Amino acid sequence: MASAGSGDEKAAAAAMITLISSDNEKFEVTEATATLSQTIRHMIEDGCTDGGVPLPNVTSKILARVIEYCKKHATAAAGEEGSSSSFSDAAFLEVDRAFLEELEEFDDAFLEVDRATLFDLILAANYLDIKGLLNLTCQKVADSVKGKTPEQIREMYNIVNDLTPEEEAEIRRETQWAFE
Amino acid sequence: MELGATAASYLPDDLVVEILARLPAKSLCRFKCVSCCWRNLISNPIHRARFAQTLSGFFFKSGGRGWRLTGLPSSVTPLGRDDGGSPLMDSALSFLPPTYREIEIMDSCNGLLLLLCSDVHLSGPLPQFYVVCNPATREWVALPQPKYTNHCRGNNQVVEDDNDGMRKFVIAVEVYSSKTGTWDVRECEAYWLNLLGRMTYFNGFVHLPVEYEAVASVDPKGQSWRLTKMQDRCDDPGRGYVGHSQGR
Repeated sequence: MASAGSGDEKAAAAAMITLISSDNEKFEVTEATATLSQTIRHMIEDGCTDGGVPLPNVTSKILARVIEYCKKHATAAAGEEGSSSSFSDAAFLEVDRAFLEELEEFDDAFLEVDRATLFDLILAANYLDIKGLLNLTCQKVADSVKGKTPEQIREMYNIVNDLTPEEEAEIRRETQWAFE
Repeated sequence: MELGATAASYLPDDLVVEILARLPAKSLCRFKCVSCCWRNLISNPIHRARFAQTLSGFFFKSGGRGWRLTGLPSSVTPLGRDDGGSPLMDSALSFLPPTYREIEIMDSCNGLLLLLCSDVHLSGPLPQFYVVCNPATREWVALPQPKYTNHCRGNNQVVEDDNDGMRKFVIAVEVYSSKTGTWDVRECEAYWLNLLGRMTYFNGFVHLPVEYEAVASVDPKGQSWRLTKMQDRCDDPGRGYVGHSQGR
């Protein structure tokens, strides 16, 4: 990396973006954190982030959690770039592994939320287009439902069974192996 | 779709699909029973490419142009509806080397196919060899020649565990293990078994219908043979068939 480039990088790292939640709370984040969101990245590229980025679909409670995730993972992304370009010896791989383990622990702890919050995080991750967060939260829901019966799914998510008894019997007959 | 009682726990369909795309095939099949909406999302051909594969169907050969596969009709993918029944797999088996010719499908089990192939690049009379493949994942392996040559073509069995391919004789069963990459012979000690129909694999045993209203069972991993006599004698002692019913 040329020295002229690193000056620009510092300027970019210092650039702050203001995110405004649906309940009008303002959050100052670095550009590196904010650009984990593809939606915000595009807004920055289009130069329309002056005066803050209003996020009418995201409450302050959820936005705080999303920023917490982005901060942690922005550090991880920066760390990966650094290590892959310059270092490959065992000591640094060791550091990388420790960091990845820490990141996994962070993700596990991050997902310790109630179902409504988890759904709000999925909605926010989708709206802000944060692939890692969307994958993490959807996988959490998938893991929590995969062993369940249809009855348990309906109960968990208040879904009304609008299949006729004949339709349901037909599906069960066709997919009997899946119920064993 | 309302996924919860409060507005906070509401997920639109495209995000329900995101979650369904992370489920194994068995859960997906089961969850067709949750509601009309879930059934339609899971069966929707637009989403199907992202889901774990639940395809079932059968291969057929048409006019020498190689193998094709048709899906089984069902209530959610009626026969004749192009969008629902078309396979998402390489049913032409084009992942096999182009020099493999005269491909015959000998048997199938749990998504694996046992093929008998010839390779036109080899000189002399074309020796046939076995290939086990998974058309959905395009993985395949050519098996070494078994100890016995093709005395008994047509009586072959592929079993799910460890990609074992298997061919059988009246007095022994030869088992190919993908773990060791070798064929093993299971000699049938006491009996001289006259095979009557196709064999089937279930619960870790290969079951063979044999003469005198009996079913012989052999464990592909061990050496144990078992003979089960039928309770009722049928009128035609020359025929027998073992098979699965409803996956069992």
